[in-house]
Amino acid sequence: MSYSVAGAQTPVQADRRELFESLLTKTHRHAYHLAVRLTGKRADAEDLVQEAYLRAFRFFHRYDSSLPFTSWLYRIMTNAHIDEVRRRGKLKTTSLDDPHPETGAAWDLPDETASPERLVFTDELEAEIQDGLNRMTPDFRVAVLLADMEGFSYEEVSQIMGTSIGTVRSRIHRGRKQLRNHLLSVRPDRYGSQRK
Amino acid sequence: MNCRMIQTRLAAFLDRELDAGETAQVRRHIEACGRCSDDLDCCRSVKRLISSLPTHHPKPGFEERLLNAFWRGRLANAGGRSRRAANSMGWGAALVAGVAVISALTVFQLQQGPTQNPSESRQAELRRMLENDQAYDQARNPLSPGIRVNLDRDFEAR
Repeated sequence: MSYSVAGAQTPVQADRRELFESLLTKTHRHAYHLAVRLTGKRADAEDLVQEAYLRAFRFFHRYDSSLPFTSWLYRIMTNAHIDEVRRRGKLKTTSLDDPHPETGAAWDLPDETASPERLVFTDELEAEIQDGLNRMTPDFRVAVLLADMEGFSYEEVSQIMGTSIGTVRSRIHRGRKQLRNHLLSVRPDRYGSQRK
Repeated sequence: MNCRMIQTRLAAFLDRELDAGETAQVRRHIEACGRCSDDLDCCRSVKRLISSLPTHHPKPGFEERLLNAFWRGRLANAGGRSRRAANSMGWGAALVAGVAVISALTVFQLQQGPTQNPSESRQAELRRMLENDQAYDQARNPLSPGIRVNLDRDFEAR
């Protein structure tokens, strides 16, 4: 499939678009996988990936091509994720026991277990781990996933997260501990053999 | 090192991110401390669990949808620029309105000015001339901020 470059006025802009599209084509599957683990939902992951690439293109002129594109993209994506989590945290919450403020009736909530957007886990273990990831502090979750799932070194994680190696070390340690405590609380029979 | 100091280094020790000296210190402590050794095993199992998570692939057509949404977003950004241009025009209109108010006040002051004390016919003539100037200036350039200047010059000249 070809994508027109009608919006590009100059050969430089056309080259830039072409380069960006090729990078997107090469990296979007991996970016999606990280986004799924960050958000825990397919739809949210797609939105996050889209937002990350939009921001990346907007600031593509700042990209240093001597560095890996994925590191730069992940920095944008993880920042967008943390921004979104914080934004949602600031939204006003309403008790589901209260009537709907507009209709006065009980809340009619969709059954997310039947949603095609819900992640289909291969097994119970994966569901428990993802639940634990969802409950982690966002900064810890990002650090742990970048290190343990993506295999980045602490120095690379510190560059992606824009923080010191000492902070990365602390976030990874505390993030793993949060996940371990969650697993111990939901399945002490499986994970309880080791001390908390 | 005590247990507390070791705890903060366990993750880095596991990931081989400590220098040789610290690595040796942590290793010696773990060999002698059952609790820290258990914690290290927990960290190792959590790391193994995360690294063994299966990969989720995007649904078919995701790349196409992404590129489509991407270029739509570009168009939306272009729309944003248009909106900014429209906002600039809005500020221009506000400027003209502000100048018009100032002009009206100037006319009012000319009408009320005790030093001029012109006759009623003179006032009417002056008002008409000022209005003509204003209309001419607006017709020439609706965003021109020069109306106030013209009116001041007229006021001094007359």
